[in-house]
Amino acid sequence: MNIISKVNKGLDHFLFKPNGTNIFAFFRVAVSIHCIVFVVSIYSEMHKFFGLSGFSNREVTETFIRLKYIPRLSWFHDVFGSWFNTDEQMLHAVLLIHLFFLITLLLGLFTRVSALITLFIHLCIVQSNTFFLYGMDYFTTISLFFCTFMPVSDFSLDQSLLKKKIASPEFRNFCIRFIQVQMCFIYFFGGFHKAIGINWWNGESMWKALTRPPFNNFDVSFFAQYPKIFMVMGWMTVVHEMFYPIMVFTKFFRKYWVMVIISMHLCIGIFMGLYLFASIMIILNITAFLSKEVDYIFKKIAAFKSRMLILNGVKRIYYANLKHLNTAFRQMY
Amino acid sequence: MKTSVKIILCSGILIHYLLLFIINVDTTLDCVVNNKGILLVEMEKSTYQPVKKKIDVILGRDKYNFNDYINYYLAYTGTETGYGFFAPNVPTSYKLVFEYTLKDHSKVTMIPQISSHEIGLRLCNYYETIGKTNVEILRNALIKFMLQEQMKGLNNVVSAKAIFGLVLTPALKNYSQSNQTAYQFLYAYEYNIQSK
Repeated sequence: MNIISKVNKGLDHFLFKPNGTNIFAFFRVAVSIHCIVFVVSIYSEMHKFFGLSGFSNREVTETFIRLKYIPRLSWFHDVFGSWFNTDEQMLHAVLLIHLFFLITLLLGLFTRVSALITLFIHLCIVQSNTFFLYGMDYFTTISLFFCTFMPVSDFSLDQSLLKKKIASPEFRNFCIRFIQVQMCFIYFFGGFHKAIGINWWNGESMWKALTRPPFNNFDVSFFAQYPKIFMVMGWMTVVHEMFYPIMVFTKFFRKYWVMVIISMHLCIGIFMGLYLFASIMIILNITAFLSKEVDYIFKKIAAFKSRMLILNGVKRIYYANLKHLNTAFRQMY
Repeated sequence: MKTSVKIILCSGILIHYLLLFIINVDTTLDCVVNNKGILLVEMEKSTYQPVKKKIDVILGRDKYNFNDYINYYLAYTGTETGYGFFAPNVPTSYKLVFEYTLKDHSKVTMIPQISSHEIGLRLCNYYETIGKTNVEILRNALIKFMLQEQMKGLNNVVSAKAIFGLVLTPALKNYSQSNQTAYQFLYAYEYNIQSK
């Protein structure tokens, strides 16, 4: 066997090895809930940041969009602006439409169309004012982009009501690999960028991240007398992020590494208040590397359900028989 | 799955990750050149410029007509930026304070009022843009928008001042000597509201 065919076989095995995972159902539901929380959290002050008169002016911020066909909120304004009395009303209407399609995505009704529309509206919101963007917005865009072509319609209304075809196991594996490699890029470069700064090695960055407003959710000043704690935390962050692409593909370290990264994001959510950033990263990590574990939980739930069904069936038969026996007994005596 | 479908999917994933790799190399180069206190890598601007130019050509940043499609793809897939968050160092915080003078000469001092935590996080990025931009008109405009929004609840405002500065939280190594947060003045603007 020559090298090319060996590479071909290896690549085929890596990307297209049949995989019957149902993790994408989890992904769809989790991403939808994450986006719903995002919409709810910005609803009341949407006009201040994305409106025509607020903390920034949309007409000004949209001039920073370089390309003509990048979605933006003024498209909605141009088409539906006359329907509303104020810009604030229009923005709320956009968010309500977004919310509606997020719910249909959550339920899995017209999943593909819902994913496309939610991606479009999400892009409109975030691209209209790039001054307000942070990491979470990019990861939400990536996740919604994944929802547009990945087999996310498992356990959905599309499947139960519209009898949509399920994706092939090869394509499922391809999608899992797609997310996995993306995660490897994210963590490797995230870790590498941190590694080239001195302050992530001496604990100063970790200290600053926890004490800098508005990320200072908790007072950690007590620990300042033990600077080594911050140093170790900084080292742990850099090492775990940089070695993520290697360790998550080893059988022995996979679970440990992903669990540490998930714990790191939990801490970011709790201690720094970046709960939406934490949630989307945890969702992506679970989808990419804990699909077997989630499938196991799904199987347990399915087994429990079927056991309950059987039990109900037995009960019904038993009581029917009991009734029948009772009447027979009465007839006899 | 048909082999032809597999080939298409393989090429798609390859192009996607090639673009992602280039974007991340680009941000890494920016990170190395624009930051002081770099530990592992050092690069001269003369080495950096030609590589950066090539990357800009690939990503269509200097020839817009050549590869707009790439930029559309990057924007629609959320991959237009690198992943060096809080790196190589955690950015500094900023503070914006407004002082409004009312008709009766009384003064009202306030900071931008935000009720949602999520929006508050976004305000940090906004401040960072104000603090880092070299375009004076943009900085002035961004501060003015905030000042006007904040002023909505006040009547009879004659003039307003905006003071923008850095919030210097105590460093870990000096915390035992001084644990006080310091403020460093950066920019100040004064607006006459009546002649607006």
